[in-house]
Amino acid sequence: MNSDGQERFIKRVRQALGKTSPTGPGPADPFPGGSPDEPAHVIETAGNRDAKQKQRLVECLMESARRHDITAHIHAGMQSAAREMAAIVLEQEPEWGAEKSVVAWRHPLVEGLKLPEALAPHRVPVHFCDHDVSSPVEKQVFVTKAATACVGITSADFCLADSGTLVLKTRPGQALSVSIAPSVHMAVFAAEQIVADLKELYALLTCEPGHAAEGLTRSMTFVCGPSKTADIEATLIHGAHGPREVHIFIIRS
Amino acid sequence: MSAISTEDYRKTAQEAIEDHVLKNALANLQQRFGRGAAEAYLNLPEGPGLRLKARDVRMEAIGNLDAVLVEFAENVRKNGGHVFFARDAGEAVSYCLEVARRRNIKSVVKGKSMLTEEVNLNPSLQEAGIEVTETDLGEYIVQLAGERPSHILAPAIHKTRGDIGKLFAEKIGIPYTDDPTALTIAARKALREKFLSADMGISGCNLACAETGHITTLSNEGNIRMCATMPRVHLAFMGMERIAQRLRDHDMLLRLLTRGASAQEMPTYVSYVGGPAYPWQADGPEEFHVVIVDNGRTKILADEDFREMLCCLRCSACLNMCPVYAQIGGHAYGHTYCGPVGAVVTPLMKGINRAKDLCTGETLCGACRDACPVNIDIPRMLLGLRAKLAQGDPRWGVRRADRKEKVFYSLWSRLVGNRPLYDAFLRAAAAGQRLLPRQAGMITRLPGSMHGWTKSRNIRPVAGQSFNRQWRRTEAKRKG
Repeated sequence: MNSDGQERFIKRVRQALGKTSPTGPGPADPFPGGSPDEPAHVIETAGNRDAKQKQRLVECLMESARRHDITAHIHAGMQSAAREMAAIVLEQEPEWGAEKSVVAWRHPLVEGLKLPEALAPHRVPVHFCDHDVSSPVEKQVFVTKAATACVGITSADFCLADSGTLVLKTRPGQALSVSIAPSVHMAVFAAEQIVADLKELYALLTCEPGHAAEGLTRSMTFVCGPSKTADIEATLIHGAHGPREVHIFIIRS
Repeated sequence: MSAISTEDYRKTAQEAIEDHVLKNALANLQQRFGRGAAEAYLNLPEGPGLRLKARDVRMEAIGNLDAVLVEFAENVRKNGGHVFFARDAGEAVSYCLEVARRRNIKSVVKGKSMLTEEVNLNPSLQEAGIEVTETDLGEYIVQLAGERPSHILAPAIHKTRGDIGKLFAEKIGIPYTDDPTALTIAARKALREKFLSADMGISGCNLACAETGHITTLSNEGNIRMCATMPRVHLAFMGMERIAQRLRDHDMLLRLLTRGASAQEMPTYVSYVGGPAYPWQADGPEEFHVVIVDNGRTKILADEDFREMLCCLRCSACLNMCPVYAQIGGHAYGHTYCGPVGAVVTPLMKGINRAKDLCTGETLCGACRDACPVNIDIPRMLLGLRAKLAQGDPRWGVRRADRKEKVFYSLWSRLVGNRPLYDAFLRAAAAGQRLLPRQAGMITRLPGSMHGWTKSRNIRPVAGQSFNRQWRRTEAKRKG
């Protein structure tokens, strides 16, 4: 059985390459011999940052955020972060329909903000994403909520200091649409989740035991700033299909 | 949509050269993205030399493509995705139609994918009664206008805000405006409905990862994320060469790709998609398919002179620097891929004779190589194609472009190899050229079939005395 065409296809590729027999994939490490790029070395460097270096990483992130039109907020605790978030939610004009609503991940950091309580007096509902078994109907209901929400709130697995990029894996309670469908995206994460750059990120994803065991998950997303387009006379406009604003909340404990 | 019109290159190029609106738009684009990319390479921590290392990584993956693709497919299947290997455009399109039929698909939203243009997917879907909506703003504009993209990254670069305003007023019924923000919001509203009601999302693939079994899609607008999240089926088209072995290779490749494409440090969205939604997931597709397409790529792979072209990530950096593209825009190239990349890829895919004007139309200035994030030597391959046109090549089915030219050059080589004969020729030419029309000391028209030389430029006359003769005279005087 070869209805997916693989065998025939790979045979043609092998012929084109002038190979007579199947070959294994290339070496796992393209530059063997303990280069400083080695993932273990990268992780070690990342793990041994002192307070000063960590501070520099936060400063680097703040600078990157400015370059990429990301609004960055630093808070010492969850309460003050929650207050500022609620204020931003209240400022927004609902884009789809008259009623203002929020969708949010089921995630300890997001739930810790206690936003439903803060927004209840203003009649702004917060819909958490909690489906254990999703029927197509349930999915439809949630996606509609996300697509009409004014604000989507997520956490992040990592945030890259050199570009302000959020890295989001998919887990129970962490729906994809929360970071793309609403008009505004806010992400809350701890300062410890900041990593230097892509090199450090990929090293952690492949070699840190927890992440290596979990894999990238079926959908992993990077978000760097608001949705944008320059398709009309190369004029830059925010809010093409995704959020027009992105806020990051860095919690320093 | 992707009717091939490479034969009309000269005519379409001429029309484009006379289109001043287009030329202004292209100048603006090159100024921003072309220069921006060059600066962005300089600002890399590793410097522009990283491009050479990235090329090695790409060539390594291409050299192991048989094993790399198998590893990728196995990993996607482990995560519940389907992989289909399509030998040509027909097989790729049929597979997509089969999935659509089986899942009772009525409407499709598409993220920008040059490969789906290459295999001419949209007309087949539409013939099957499926509504197809392009969701990248530029592609949406081009689709509404019934045209083809004229740039890989900025498909609607040939249209002005006024054109787009009129188009939107006519096609989506909004009051006329030429304000880019208002037009973008109008498209956002119109397309949001499509995303939420579509049955299937179709995307391309910028760079897959074999080690993890994920495709990667990049976008600034977020439309590809919507296509991969909202509909119940996600199907991705992937050129067989668009793959990296290891996740860590994505570090340099993504950074270079986005700098080359749009002078950005990071695209707004990068999605790693490796399977359908988990059973507990509140959104995401029920099915995920990857169609890996050959469609002429193994032929390129088999020829070591052109294998390097498979390193290409279709970022369009070469378009943004090319002096020829700046003059003629994308439509003149007559097929999916335009600019320097198209001038190599189109002849290789569609026939070197058929697309000969594309590779002879470029200047060999080398700007494309310097702009390329993986340092592909496009000028070398353009010369390789021209050599095939001059000499013929049965392996590629190339006929000699012009027999008269061949005869002319074999006579010419005999002439210049024989000193007395050549001297006699020069004397004859010096005398004969007096009959030719001149302007400001230059000959404006050569006789007979040689007049092609002077069609768009004048030629300097042969000197009254040859260098050798002058030298002998001067020496004689000095000694004398």
